[in-house]
Amino acid sequence: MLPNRMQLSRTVEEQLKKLKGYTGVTPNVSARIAFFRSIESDFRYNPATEYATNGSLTLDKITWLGRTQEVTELLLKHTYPDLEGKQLQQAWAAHVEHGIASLRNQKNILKLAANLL
Amino acid sequence: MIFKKLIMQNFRVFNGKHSLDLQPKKDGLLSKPIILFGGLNGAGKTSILTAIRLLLLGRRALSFIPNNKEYADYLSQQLNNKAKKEDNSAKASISLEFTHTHQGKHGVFTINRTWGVDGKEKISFEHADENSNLTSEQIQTIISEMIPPGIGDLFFFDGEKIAELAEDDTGVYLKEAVQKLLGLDIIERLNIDLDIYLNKESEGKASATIQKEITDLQKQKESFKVEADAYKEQANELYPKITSLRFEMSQIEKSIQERGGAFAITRDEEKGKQKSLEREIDTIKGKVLHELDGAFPLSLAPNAVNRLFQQLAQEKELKAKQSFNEQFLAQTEKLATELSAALEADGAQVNELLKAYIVTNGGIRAESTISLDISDREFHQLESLRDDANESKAKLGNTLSELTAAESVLDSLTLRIQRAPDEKELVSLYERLRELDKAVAKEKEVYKDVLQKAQKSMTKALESAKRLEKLFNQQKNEKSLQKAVARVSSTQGALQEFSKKLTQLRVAQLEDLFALAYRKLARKEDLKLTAKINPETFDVALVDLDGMEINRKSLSAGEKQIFAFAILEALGKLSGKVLPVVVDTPLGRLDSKHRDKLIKHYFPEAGEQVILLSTDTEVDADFYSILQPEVSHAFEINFDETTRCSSVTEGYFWENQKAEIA
Repeated sequence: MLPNRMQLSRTVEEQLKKLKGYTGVTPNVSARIAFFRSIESDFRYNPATEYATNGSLTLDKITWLGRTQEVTELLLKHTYPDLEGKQLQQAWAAHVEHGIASLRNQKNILKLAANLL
Repeated sequence: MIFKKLIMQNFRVFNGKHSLDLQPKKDGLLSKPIILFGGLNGAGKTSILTAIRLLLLGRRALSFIPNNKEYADYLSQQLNNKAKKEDNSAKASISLEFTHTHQGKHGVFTINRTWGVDGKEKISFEHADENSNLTSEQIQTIISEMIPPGIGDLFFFDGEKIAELAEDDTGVYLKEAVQKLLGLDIIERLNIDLDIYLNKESEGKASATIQKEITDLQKQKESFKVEADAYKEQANELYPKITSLRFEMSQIEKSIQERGGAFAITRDEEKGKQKSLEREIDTIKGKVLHELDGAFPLSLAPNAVNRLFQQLAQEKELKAKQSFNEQFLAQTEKLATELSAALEADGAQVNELLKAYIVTNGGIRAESTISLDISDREFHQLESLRDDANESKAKLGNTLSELTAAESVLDSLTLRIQRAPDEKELVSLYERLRELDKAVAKEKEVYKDVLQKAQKSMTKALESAKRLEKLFNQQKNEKSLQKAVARVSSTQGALQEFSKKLTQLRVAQLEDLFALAYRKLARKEDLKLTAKINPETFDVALVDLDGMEINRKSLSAGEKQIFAFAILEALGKLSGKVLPVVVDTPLGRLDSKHRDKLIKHYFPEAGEQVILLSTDTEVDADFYSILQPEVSHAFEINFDETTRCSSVTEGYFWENQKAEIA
C-alpha cells in the first residue's frame, strides 16, 4: 500500500503549481487527473529505474488522493502487484508526471476541462 | 363792468328759478343807467344784493370773515325753506352774467355758485375764450382780481349800514379800501417783496473758506471721475475674457455630446452586467473545480477501472468457491460415514470419492489468485464510486457548456465596453468644464466688483458736483448780495418817497372830489364845507369856512349817510374803476331835501349801471317820475304770504297798477 505521506518530483510539482495559476485547479486534484489519464494509457513504471520524489510539497495520502484513494491504490496494486511502500509511491509519482505532460500547458479551466471530456 | 343777467334758484325767499335781466337799455344815444327794484319790507330786496355780493365777493361778502364751517352754515341758511322742505337734496344756485375787460380782453363772463343743504359750495366760471378747468380757489382769485374785496363794499352796499363809514374815525374802514383803490397797496407789497428777496439772498452767507472748499471739491470730483473711467476701462477689458471662457465651455459641452453622452450613461449598467457575469463565471468555475475534486478522475481511466473490476469480481467468485470447498471438506468425513451406512458401502471409499469431486468440480484455477482482497462492502463502495464518476462526467459536460456560453456573453459585453468612449478622456473633459465654470464665476465676480467700484466713484463724483454747484451758488450770492442790498434799500427809499408823494397827490384829489360830491348832495348851508383827509389814517374830516373841524359824531344819521355817499362817489371816481353800483334802501334815513339831491344828482351819475333796491316809500311816485328818464327798467318783488316765497315781475308799483287800469 501507498505510504501515508507522499511527494512528487520537483519538476512536476512546479508544473502543477503553474497549472494552478492558470486554471485554479489545485496540485492534488491535477495530480489525480494526471494519474488516471496515465494509468489508462500504456505507460508503465519501471521499478528498475530509480524515480526521484524530491518535491517539497509533502501531503497526507488522503489529501493527495481524496475520494479516489481506494481506487488509486487498488489500480496500483493491480498493475504493480510486486511493489510495496516507497516503490509504489514512486510509481504513482511517475504516473502523475506522465499524465500531466499533455495538460500542463492549458491556460484556463475551460480548455483543461474540455480536454478531459 | 356791466351786469347782464342774474339767475337765482332756491335762494332765500326765491323758490324755484328766477332770472333777472339787469342790462341797462339805451334810448338812442342816451343811456339809462338805473335798474329799479321795488319791494315792500321783507319782499327780497336784500336777497338780490346778497346774491350779487356773494357771487362777486364769496365769503368776504359777510360782515365778518368766516371760517369754513361758519361759511357753510351761512350758505345752508340761504337755501329757500320751501325748497328744503319739499326736497331734502334741493340745491340753491345763483349765477351772474356780466361783461368785463379782464387782462386786456373784453368778454362775457358767468359766475355760478351752487350749494346744497350741507352748505358745500361749487363754483364755476365760464368765459368764451377760457378753459374753465379751474379750482374754486383759482376762480375766486380771478374774481378778486376784477373786484378787489376792499372795494366791493363801496359799490354794493346797504344804504343804512353805509352810515357806519361816516362814524368810523379810526380809518380802519376806509384805509384798506382807499389804499387798494388808489393802488397804494401795490407799493406796500413791492416793499415787502423786496424784504423777502433780501432775506433769501442773505440766507446763504458765503464764507472765506468756500473758495478753498471749491478747489478741493473740484479736485476730488476730477479724481473720482478719473477713477470711475479707469474702472470702466478695466471692466471693458475683463468682459471678453468671460466671453471666451464661456465659448470654450460650450465647445467642451459639444464634444462631450459628440462622444456619446448616452453611452456614458449605460456604461455603468454594462459594467454592472459584466461584473455579475464574471461572478457567475467564477461560480461555474467553482463547480468545475468541485467536480474535478470528486470522483471524476475515475472516468478518465475507464478501461483500467474495468479491468480492476473484473479482477475484483473474479476474486469475489474465487473466495466464495474456496469457502464452499473448505466447508464441504470439513463435512466430508461425516457425510461419508452417513452415506456408507445408508448405502452399505465402504466408508473410506466414499470419503475418497467426495474429496476427488471437490478437486475436480470445485477446482480453482491455478492462475487465479486473490491479490487485492477487498471486502464485499468495499466492493459495493467502489461500484457506487464508479457510478458517481460517470455521473460527474456528465455534469461536468453541462457545466462546461454553461461556462462556454457565459464566457461568450462576457466577451461581447467586454467588447461593447471597450468600444465605449474612453472614460479617462471624458473625465478630463468634465474636469476642464468644472474648472472653466469656476473660472467664469471668478471672472464674473471680479467684473461685478470693478463695475460696482466704477459706480461708486461715479456717485462720489456726482455728489462732489452737487456740492460744488451749491457752493458756487453761495459764492454768487455773496457777491451779488452787496449789490442787492444796496439796490433794494435804494429802491425801498424811492418807493417810500413815491408812496408818500402818491398818497399826498391822491388824498388831495380825493379831498377835491369829496368836496365836489358833498356839495352836490348837501343842503345849501353846507356848501361851504371842505374836507380834510389824513394821509396816514385816511380819516376824513369836515372843515368849515373858519377852518374849524366839524365833529362827525355830531352829525345826524341822515347827514352821515350823505357824507358816506359823498366819500363813495369820490372814491369811485378817483379809482377809475367802472363798476356797477348796487344800493339797498338808499334813502331810508334821509329827509326830503337830501332825498331829492340823491335822486337828482347821485344815482344818475354814480355809474354806468346803478341798481336801486327800494321800498315804495323811498322811491315814491314823485321820485319815480323824476328818475324815470334815467330808469332803464324796473322790477317789482312780491311776497306771497301763503307760500312765504317771492316772485319778481317787470314794472314798478304804479306802473303795474296803471297797466291794470288800462
